[in-house]
Amino acid sequence: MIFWTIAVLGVYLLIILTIGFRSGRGAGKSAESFFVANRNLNWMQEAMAVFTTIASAGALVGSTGLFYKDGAVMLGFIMAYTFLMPITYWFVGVRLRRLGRARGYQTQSAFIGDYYQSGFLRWCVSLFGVVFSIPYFLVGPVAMGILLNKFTGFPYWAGVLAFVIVAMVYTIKGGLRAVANTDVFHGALLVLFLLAVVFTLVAHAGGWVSILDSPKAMVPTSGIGLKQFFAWIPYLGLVTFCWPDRAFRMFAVKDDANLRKGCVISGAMMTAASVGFLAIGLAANKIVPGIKNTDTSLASALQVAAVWLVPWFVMNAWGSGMSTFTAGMLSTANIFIKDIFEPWYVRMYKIPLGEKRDKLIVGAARWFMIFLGATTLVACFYPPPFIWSLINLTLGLFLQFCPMFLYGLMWKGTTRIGVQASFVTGVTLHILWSFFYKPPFGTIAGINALFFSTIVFFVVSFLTSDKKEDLDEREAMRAIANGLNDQPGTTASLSNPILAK
Amino acid sequence: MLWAKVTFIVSFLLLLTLPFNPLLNQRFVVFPLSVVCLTLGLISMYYCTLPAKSKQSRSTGGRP
Repeated sequence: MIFWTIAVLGVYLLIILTIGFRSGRGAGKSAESFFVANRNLNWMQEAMAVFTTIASAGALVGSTGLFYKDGAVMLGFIMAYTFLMPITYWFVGVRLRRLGRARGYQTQSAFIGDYYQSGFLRWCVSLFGVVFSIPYFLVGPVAMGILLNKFTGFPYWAGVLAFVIVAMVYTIKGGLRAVANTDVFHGALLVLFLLAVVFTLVAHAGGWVSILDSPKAMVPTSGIGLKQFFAWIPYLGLVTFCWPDRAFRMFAVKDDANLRKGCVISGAMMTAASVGFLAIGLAANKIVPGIKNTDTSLASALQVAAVWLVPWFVMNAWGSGMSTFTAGMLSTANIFIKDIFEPWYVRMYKIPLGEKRDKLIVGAARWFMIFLGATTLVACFYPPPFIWSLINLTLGLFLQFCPMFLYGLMWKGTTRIGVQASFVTGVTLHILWSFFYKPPFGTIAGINALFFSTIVFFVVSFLTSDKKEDLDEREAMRAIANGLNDQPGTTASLSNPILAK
Repeated sequence: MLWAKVTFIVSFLLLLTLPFNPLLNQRFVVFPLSVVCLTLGLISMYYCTLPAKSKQSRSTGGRP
């Protein structure tokens, strides 16, 4: 089994490298090509990219553990990906895609800064995107190194090194197109793997009737289980379009039709995967009952029921880990280079738009990714003690972007002060309820904070108003976002006065 | 499309109110019911997000 696990993983990494290299040729010609694949991704690339980034290695290990522990409580988790995630991602995504094409946006913060005429919001979204993305993708190689070591005895340091080098090589070479094409390949393998696991484990557990004959196959009617059932729906349903590594692909899709199909297909794939997690969780309860460390439930069930699937489990966990790692690294580099480095460097050295600037941007992005890779390796061997606190904060903090994107695009009465007040409220409450006090509704601090930041958003927006020129600019952007004044092909980065010089 | 919007909302509400519905919240019902509602939700969402046809394109069978 050790031989097969290493062999399957080795072949997989070779295929991934080949796909990444072949599809990434010529990606370094321009920043548009490197970061947003010339805004030419199709529905399959979009759907698989979103699916594999959400169905991360953490989902394969941690989420299956949650389904094992909580059973049908997690129906809220599934409903989030069926009913809320695709429709909100579509609503925000189609508008950001149109604006990105018309005005050259490649990051969420560039859009937010212009839409609300607010440097404060632009910087907050940029800095949060960089600071809180890094720890999230740093832990991927740690988990994969441990996983490989556990199943094969392969040295931890060698596993981490192999993971980081392979992921970095094709991402640095090919940018988003390489990442998107490897995601398509990995997404297809992941679907096949989940199908095989579900049917094998259910059969081993005695069939569907046997696994459903459990109290965990019912939704709780009171207590913390009921609260969690309701909290999962907005929590996961709203965070996807806020999360930078998932959201920046909106700017890269070629047209509305492809984005629409991509959203529905990614929702369908996440729904199928989550229903699979529920079946796996219920079956694992019959096969290996009473596991304390629920993160090991899937692996333990496979070792008992279908040891031949273990190499495929390790390979898929690595593939999912790489999807999240490469998406996080590329999105962080995109934000840092486009929102922080480019405006500063261009202002310092007065570099005009053109080939020279494009080469500089792509070169800087590649060096920044090498720096991120080196930081990852250091963090894998000497993990800082505060890294888990940062990761715990990440989801809830990104969720606080929701009012400025979703409500701000839906409602004309939004004001800059309303958005700023709502964001500050959400972030402050989330930190307070994560570390110092118990959240008032009893579960998931980020959702509690979003509830109150939503109230602040509408109340302050009702009570304040914006300057006429700001309102006119926002109306012009809304017209483009709503498809009333689409101007495809406009030169990139014209909205930023520094970059346009 | 009205049927798609109604199907989407009904599927969502049926699952959302499951904890308060003792008739459906039973061990052999929740899983199959969820699969049916989730499938209907996704299919109806596909039609809900279809772009509305203009009057001109309707009268010319979709041609500009």
